[in-house]
Amino acid sequence: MSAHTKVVINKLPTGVPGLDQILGGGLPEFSFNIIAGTPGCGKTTLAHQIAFANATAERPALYFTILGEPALKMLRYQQQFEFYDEVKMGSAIRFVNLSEQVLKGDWNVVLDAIVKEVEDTNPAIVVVDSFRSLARKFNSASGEMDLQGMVQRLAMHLTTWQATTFLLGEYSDAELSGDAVFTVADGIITLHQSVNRNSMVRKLQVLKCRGQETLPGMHIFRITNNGLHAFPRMLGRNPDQNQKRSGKRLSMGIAELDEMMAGGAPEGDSIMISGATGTGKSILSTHFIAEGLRQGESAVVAVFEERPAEYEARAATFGFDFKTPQENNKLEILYLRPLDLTVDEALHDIMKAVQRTGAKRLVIDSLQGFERALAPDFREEFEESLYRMFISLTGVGVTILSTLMVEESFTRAPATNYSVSFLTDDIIRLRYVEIDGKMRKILNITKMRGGEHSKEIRQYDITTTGLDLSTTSFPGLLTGVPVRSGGAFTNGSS
Amino acid sequence: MNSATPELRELALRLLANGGNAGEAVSFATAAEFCARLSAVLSKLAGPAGSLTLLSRALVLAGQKAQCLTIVQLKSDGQLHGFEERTSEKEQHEWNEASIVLVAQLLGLLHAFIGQRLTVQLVEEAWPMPPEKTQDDSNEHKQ
Repeated sequence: MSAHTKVVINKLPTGVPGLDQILGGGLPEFSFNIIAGTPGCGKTTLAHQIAFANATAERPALYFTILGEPALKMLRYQQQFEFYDEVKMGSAIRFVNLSEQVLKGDWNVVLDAIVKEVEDTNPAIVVVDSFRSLARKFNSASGEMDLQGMVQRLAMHLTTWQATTFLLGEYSDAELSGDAVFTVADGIITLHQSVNRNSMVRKLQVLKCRGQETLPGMHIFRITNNGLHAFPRMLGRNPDQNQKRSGKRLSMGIAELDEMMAGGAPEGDSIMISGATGTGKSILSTHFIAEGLRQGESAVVAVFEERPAEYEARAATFGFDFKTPQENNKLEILYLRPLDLTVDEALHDIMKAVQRTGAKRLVIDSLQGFERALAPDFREEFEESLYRMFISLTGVGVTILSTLMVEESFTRAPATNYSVSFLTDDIIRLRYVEIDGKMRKILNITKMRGGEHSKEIRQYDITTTGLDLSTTSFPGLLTGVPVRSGGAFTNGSS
Repeated sequence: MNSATPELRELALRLLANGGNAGEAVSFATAAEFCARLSAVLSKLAGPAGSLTLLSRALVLAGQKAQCLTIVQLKSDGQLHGFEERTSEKEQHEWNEASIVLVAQLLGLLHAFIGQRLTVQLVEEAWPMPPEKTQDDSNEHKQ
C-alpha cells in the first residue's frame, strides 16, 4: 500500500494555547481520551475549552454530567471564563445530566442514554464528567472485567459515531497504571498541582496519544480568566530553529569592547556579563540594545529587578532614547511577573515579544532576578531551563546578553555563580580592583566560543555617556601587583 | 433574598398571561404548570434532583413575598400541590400575585446560575414565549 492511501487522522484544536503543540498538532479526531487529575486541577475547564473550540450547531458537543459537580453550579462558574460563548449554549453545546440513570445502578441504562443522545444529536465532541464516579459505582458492583467491557462498548460506539470523546476522572498517579479504562483509551492527559512552600504550580502531561508524536514530560499551565494556558517545554526545539549562523559580528555599542571581541559578538551567541554590584552590567547591556536600535534592529529587554519605566529612565540618563523605539514597536521592555514564574512562561512571553518585534537582540537583566522570580519548584532546575531557553532563542538567530551578579572579594572573584560553560558562548567579566589606593573597575573577556579575543584586562569608568573604557592597561592586576603600562590600547589577542 | 427583578416579574406576568386562556386573569394552576414544565426541561441539564431543589428554593423565596404559598407543597415529580381555586376577589388577587412571584423567583434563580441566554432557551423549550413587548404596548400600559 502506498503512503498516499494511508488514513489521515485530522487533528482538532484544543482551544488551549500551547496544548496543541504539546499534543503534536492537536487532538486526534474520533479518539477516546481520558483527562485525569486530582480535584481542582482544571479537568472540567479543559473539557469546556475543548468543547467550545470545536462545537458547532451541526456537530455539537454533548456534555454528560454524572454525580460530580452539580451542573447548575458548574455552568455558573464556567461562564466566568472568556472562552465561554453563550451563543453556543443550548445549540452547539448541550448538557445532559445522567444522575437519574446512574442511580438506577444499571450500566446498560446509562449506556443506552448516552447512545440515544449521541444518535439524536450527532456530536463532534462527547464529554463524560465525571467518569470516575460512574466507573467506581459500576466497578464495585460488576467487577473490573465488566467495567473494561463496558468501557470498550462505550469507546466503540462513540468512535463509530465519529465523536471525539473525553472521560474526566479524579485519578491519582498511582491509579493510572492499574485501571482498565486506561488500557482502552487512545489518549491520556494528566493534570497536576504541586505545592512547594507557599507556591503552587500546575503541570500537565500527555501520557499517551496514539498515532502521533507528543512533547514528552511535564508542561506548565496556568488557569486565568481565559481558561487554561499551557507553556510547552521547548526542549530547545523551535520550528524556525537550525537557522545557519550568519557569521556576522554585532557591535556591543562600545568601540573598544568591539575591538577586544575581534569585531563584536557573533550573531546568535549567548553573551554573559558577570560582575559585582555596581560594576555597570546593566549599563553595558543598555549600550548593546542602543547600538542595535541605532543600526535599525529591533530588540527585547526582559527585566526582573526594576520596572520598564525605570529601565527606560536610567537609559535616558546615559543619553539613550528607549521611549521612541518602544512607540515604534522596535523595542519591548518586558517586566515578567516576579511571583511563581516558570521558565517556560518566561520563554513564551519573550518568544512572543521577539516575534512581535522581529528582535535580533535580547537582554535578560538579570539572571539572579529571573531565578528569584521563579517558583521554588523551578529554581532547582534553573540551569537546565536556562539552557533550553538559550538554545531556543539563539536557534532562531537572536543574540542574547544576560547579566549576572557575582559576589567577589579581593581574594576570590568567581566568573559566575552558575555552571556557565554550557550556557554561554561569550563571557565578559567586570570586577573591582584597587589601583593607586582607589577602587577601580576592570573588564576582560573570559571566553569567546567564536574564536580569538583580547586577553587584556582593561580599566573602565562609568560616565554620563555610559561605559568608558580607558586606554590605560595594568598588566599583573590579577596577581595583585599591577604595573601601569600606559599608552594606547593594543590588541592583546596574541 | 430576592432574585426576582422587576424585569423578571414583568416577564413572568407575560409568560403566565400567554400560557393561560386569553382574557382570563393569571391563575396559580397556570403557574404550577409552568413550573412543572420548566422543571422537566431543566432536569435534562441539571438532573431531576437539581431541578427539584431549584424549584423548592424558588417556592421558599416566593413564600416570603406571598403568604398564601406556605400551604403549597412540592412533590418529587415536580408538581405543586395543596393550592385551591379561590372564589373571593381578595383571594383571587392574592393567588394571582403569588403566581407571578413564584415564576419570577424561579426565573431569577435560573438567571443567577446559568445566565440569561440559557434561561430563555429553557423557557422557550418549556412554554410558549410571549411576543416581545413593543413601544405601543408600553404606552398603552401607561395610559
